[in-house]
Amino acid sequence: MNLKNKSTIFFLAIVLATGCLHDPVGEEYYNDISKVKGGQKPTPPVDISISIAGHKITLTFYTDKLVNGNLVTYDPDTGTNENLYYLVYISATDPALFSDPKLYYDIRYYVGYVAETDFEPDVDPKSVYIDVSSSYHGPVYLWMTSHDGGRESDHSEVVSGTIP
Amino acid sequence: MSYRIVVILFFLFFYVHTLFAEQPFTFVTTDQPVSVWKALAWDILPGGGHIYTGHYEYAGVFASLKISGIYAMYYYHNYWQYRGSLYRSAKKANQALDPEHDLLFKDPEGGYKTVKEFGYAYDRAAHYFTLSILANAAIYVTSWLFTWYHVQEINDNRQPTYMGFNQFSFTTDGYGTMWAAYTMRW
Repeated sequence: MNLKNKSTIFFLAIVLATGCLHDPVGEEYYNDISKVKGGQKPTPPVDISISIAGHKITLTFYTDKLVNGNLVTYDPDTGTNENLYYLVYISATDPALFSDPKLYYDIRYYVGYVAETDFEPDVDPKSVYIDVSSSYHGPVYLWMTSHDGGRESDHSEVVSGTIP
Repeated sequence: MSYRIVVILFFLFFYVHTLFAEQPFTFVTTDQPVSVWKALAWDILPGGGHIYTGHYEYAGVFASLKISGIYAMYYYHNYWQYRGSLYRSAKKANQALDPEHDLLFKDPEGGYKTVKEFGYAYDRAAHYFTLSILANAAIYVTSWLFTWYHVQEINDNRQPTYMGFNQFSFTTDGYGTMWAAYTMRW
């Protein structure tokens, strides 16, 4: 084979190889949990409650509760809750009236987060404090989620109270 | 008698003049004009039009540009289809796995993206493909303009040229009569 033919074959091989780099994927390509950041989604904190003193809200929740020896709040990928963050959301309107369930996780209702490692291990209940603007008077609705760094859990039950 | 001498001198004078002034009657033979349309048609092939007009350096440049441009179109068309397939797959999976959350899917090019971000990447790929088409169009138009210009240049040099001349001739017949002729042609 002479040099010209070799060069032609080499050139065509590069063209075909670079073209095949971007072969379209099938519709089920991402229907694979290993390609989702965070894998399986965690479960949220449970038994949350609030107490209101003036414009200070104390939110209490459980993350180390066991049912049949298994954690209720955990990340299925690790089997523990040590890598979890707990997100707090607040709203002045009842989230049950949200037009879209995605709004439960919308940043406009997000207050902040705490990590499981911020607390003493295996100590429940856990509490966080939220200061509300002194100009606000009215109902407040709070709920929580867990986050494993990739995926967010479904929201917890919603608790409510009134700022006097 | 004297007038004959004058006439002969007159004719001799003009005959000598015509010897020097005489130009060959020439319809300058040239090559046929080059067809613009044929040249432009050849230029669809990389460098074709410039080879047809004998401008090999232009042929080299435009052949390289056209081959690169066609390859860029092929590459970005595949890339566009590829990003589209990733977007559609992520959208379907997000809907199936957890419709209430924006999941982060692993991008084969690195990192993680939400469905919305996959959509942006798909749009960007479409822009790259569009730009590659526009670049090819620009290369072809430029190449055609140069080809057209070169054809005009060649044809200007191949215009048929008519050259005028004048000529005196004189002959004598068997009876001693002198015949003079003056011819002008254009």
